[in-house]
Amino acid sequence: MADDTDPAIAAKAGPRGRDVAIASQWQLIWWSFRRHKLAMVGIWVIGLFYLVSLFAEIVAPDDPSEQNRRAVFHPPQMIHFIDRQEDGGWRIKPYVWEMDRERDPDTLAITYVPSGEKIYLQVFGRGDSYKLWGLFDWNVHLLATERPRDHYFLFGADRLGRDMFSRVIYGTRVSMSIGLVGVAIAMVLGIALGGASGYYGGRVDAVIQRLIEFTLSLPTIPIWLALAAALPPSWPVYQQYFVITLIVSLVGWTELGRVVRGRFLAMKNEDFVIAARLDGATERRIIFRHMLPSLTSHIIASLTLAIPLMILAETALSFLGLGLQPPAISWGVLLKEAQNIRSISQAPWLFIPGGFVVVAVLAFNFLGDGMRDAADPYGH
Amino acid sequence: MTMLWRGLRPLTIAGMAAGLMAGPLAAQEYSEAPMLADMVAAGDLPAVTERLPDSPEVIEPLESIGTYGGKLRRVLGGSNDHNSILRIVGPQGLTRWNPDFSEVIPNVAESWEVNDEGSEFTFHLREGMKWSDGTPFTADDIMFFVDDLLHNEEFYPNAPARFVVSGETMTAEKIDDHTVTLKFASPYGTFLTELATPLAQEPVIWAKHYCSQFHPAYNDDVQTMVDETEAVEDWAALFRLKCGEVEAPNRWSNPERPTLDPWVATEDAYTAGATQVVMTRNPYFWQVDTEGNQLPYIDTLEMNVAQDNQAIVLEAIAGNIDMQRRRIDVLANKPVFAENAEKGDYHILDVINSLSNAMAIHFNHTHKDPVMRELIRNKDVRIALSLGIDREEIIDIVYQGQGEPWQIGPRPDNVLYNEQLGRQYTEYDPDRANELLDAAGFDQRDGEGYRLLPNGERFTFDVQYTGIEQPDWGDALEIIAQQWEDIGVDLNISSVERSIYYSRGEANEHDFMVWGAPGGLDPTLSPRDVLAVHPQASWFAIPWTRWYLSGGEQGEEPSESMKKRLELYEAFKAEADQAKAADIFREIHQMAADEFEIIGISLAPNLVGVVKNGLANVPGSIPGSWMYPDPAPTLPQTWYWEK
Repeated sequence: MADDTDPAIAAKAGPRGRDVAIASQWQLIWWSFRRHKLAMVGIWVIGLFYLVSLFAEIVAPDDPSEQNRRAVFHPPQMIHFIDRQEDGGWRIKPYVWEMDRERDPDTLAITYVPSGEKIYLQVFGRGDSYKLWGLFDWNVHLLATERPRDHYFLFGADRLGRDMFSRVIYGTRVSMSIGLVGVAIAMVLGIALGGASGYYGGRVDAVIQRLIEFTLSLPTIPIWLALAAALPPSWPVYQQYFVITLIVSLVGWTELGRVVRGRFLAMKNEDFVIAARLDGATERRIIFRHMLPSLTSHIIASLTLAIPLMILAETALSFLGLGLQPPAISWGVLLKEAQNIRSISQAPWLFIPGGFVVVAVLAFNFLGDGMRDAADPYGH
Repeated sequence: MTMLWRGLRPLTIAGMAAGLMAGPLAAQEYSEAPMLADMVAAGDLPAVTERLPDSPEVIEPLESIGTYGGKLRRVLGGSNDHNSILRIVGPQGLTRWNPDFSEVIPNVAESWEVNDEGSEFTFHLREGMKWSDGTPFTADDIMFFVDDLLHNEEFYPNAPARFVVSGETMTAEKIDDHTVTLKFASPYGTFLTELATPLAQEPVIWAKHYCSQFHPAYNDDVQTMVDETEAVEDWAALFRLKCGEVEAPNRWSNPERPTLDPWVATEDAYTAGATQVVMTRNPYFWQVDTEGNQLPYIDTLEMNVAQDNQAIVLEAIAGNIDMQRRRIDVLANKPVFAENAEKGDYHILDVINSLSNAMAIHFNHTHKDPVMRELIRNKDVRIALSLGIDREEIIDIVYQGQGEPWQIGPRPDNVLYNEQLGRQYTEYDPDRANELLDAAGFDQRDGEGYRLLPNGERFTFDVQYTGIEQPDWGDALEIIAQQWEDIGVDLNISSVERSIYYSRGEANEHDFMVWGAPGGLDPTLSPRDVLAVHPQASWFAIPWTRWYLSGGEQGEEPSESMKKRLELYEAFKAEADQAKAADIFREIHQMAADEFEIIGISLAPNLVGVVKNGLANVPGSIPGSWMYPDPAPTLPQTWYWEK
């Protein structure tokens, strides 16, 4: 591996002047990663998304499925913080202007006009009750209206008067979790089977390669259609989608499997592998300690591409009636619900979830970029 | 004729008089479109007097006499939207609806007589009338349909129900070249009405001189043609491919097929994968206006094929559609259409909904699971479920506030209106609903507050709906799911693709199904929600429909009330006296109201369409119904472009 006395590396003193020469590999990785500014942004964004999805019930001001006939297509509201009073004084107290709904009798279009009343908001106020993580009954929300019967709409409301902000928050939880399970399974399968195929060769290789060819030859769309018909309709939508992503991942591992096999084949006769073997290292150690790390950058790259693909695929699957369907909430579902002329012309705020998809996909890509560079700190 | 529609509210188009039997004009007064005049001058076409019947039907246009020329643009939704073409070109049956959907008037038949019993119908055809290729249209064409197709088991393994009475298929007798009598085994009071509906055009859609070449009785070599044609297994399939059938894309795919329609297919026909369909005027069309101008006024129909409904909405607001409501007619689109009307240079068409309910809930009374079946058959449970729905909220959110709480049955302005059938148990009363469910023995609840069934399972309904076509049902179901939570009933909603929807329903694998309830203006033509007669739509009891259609051999024996209703329905069909027939139907409705099998949400609100400014003779408001295949009965052949 690398030579500690290499002047090129020694010259690159780590952050705050620490000595690269004596830093561990993980420290090197971390320093290298921190230099990648976009990756740092990415990790913060992703961290924030996961934090929000973890505490979705608290962050969301409303029940995301609660319809409200008084708020159909309610436009987004600005939160004001400085409350000017009639006597000219002011105080810091968040509020929004209350809006009244009107429907044009001829065109049936809905418009909202300010009623002149203020709806005051309270940090950690009481609102809808919920069960946090399915365990604790609670009713505290990050920002709740003072009177529980009032509502405010940071991102507006959809055609059923449901609060878009709450829906985006809950959608984050689903979009950032369910699909990723499939990606993880595909990765484990791809590395394990691809690795075994490349490392052992011979009969194992032949069997696994035929398996990959067979899997690739399966026509996916008819299989999904059959699945959609075969899954018991009494299953909750999330469970149905989870099973479908599992099955998609059973098909999706093949590509990674082939790449891993190729790299293992090429690597198994490299000097450092032979040296390790001659040193009497176990197979496990050879594979996980010596061979796999040289693949990390590729694996990370394909993973970080797979995650946004999974987020996007969820929308496409929904179109075939296979992905998540309402009443489930995910970014894909929210976007699909906005896919009509009526939304564009009357409620453009319904496209806000699209911004979240873009941000999440970019953040994952930046993160992947940074991790790939950092995974090989000696490569500079 | 006394029709059951007489009670229909006078519509805005009531003033539109259909020109009935005005005296024949002198031959020299007929005139024709410039494009045809050119062809006559070039010797490619006979003169207009020779092309028209001796006494063409004279139509009085709605507003004014038109001028020739121009094209009419519409958009088709995919490659299975044949009925969009049928609805503007097709329904040229022996009879047709007058424009306000109140009466059946002569169409291809010039006049008719009915025998006293009401079982024999003698039709007089127009002398000198011709198919679109110039061959005379005569009684032989109708005889060809009856003798060679209707009674041919290879063509119709089962004769269509509309031509069968008391188990006997209709027969025909040719009196002379222009007179034919259609005969039934017993009285058939609704036959003339039936003939005005889109599916009963068979007697006059197949030209014998052309179609007989695909029939083994006329062509010994037909098997050779079958063998030469791909994907065709027998002569009947070949016949349908070449000559079309009433309700299929192939009716519009063969430009060689002669028709009686105002516009005929061209090389740009409605074939698989077509992106644009063009139809051109029929030079032999048999109607003229009051000044003797041969109809239609408009030269061509141009129909682009779009792949999804949103694309059609876009075309409409861009002003690229001249007259259409199909696939874009939900009220939710109205604000969008209104907003863009000026820019797109069109105005909004008001379509009077013939449906009874925008969304009916068909509980499965023949559920395979005995626990669910017992639950569903308990009328108190159904009442509770109905009382547990806040219809006002659904109407306000999903139907733009334009409906009213409603179950099923004829609309309030129909003569057969039954208040109990329409309005019983539509109030929102969750307390009463909870009482009823407790009293019915579902008083145990689980940890989440849902009721439990006697077998310990949660009181849950699984419901499927076709979300791609009807997103409004999904919205309404989500609201219902929330409202039913308050009465401890769990609703599990899933949107499925339409073919899966049908296969689940036909296999009787549903708890309940959701569909629009027809029969608001046409209760006797679409009785499938009060009578188990439709194997693909009477979702509340599919096995009962099988029992009825198979004469008791298959399916499952219906409830006593339904059996009595089906008997009454047979009596209704045979009743020639319209007043008595209406009374029979009132009795059917009353029994259905007492049984309360299906619940509904909202009286179907009116629909919307767009009409390009400058297109004249289009009514401002038209009835919308499959049985009145709008807009054809308003006579698109009289529409024209104002200069």
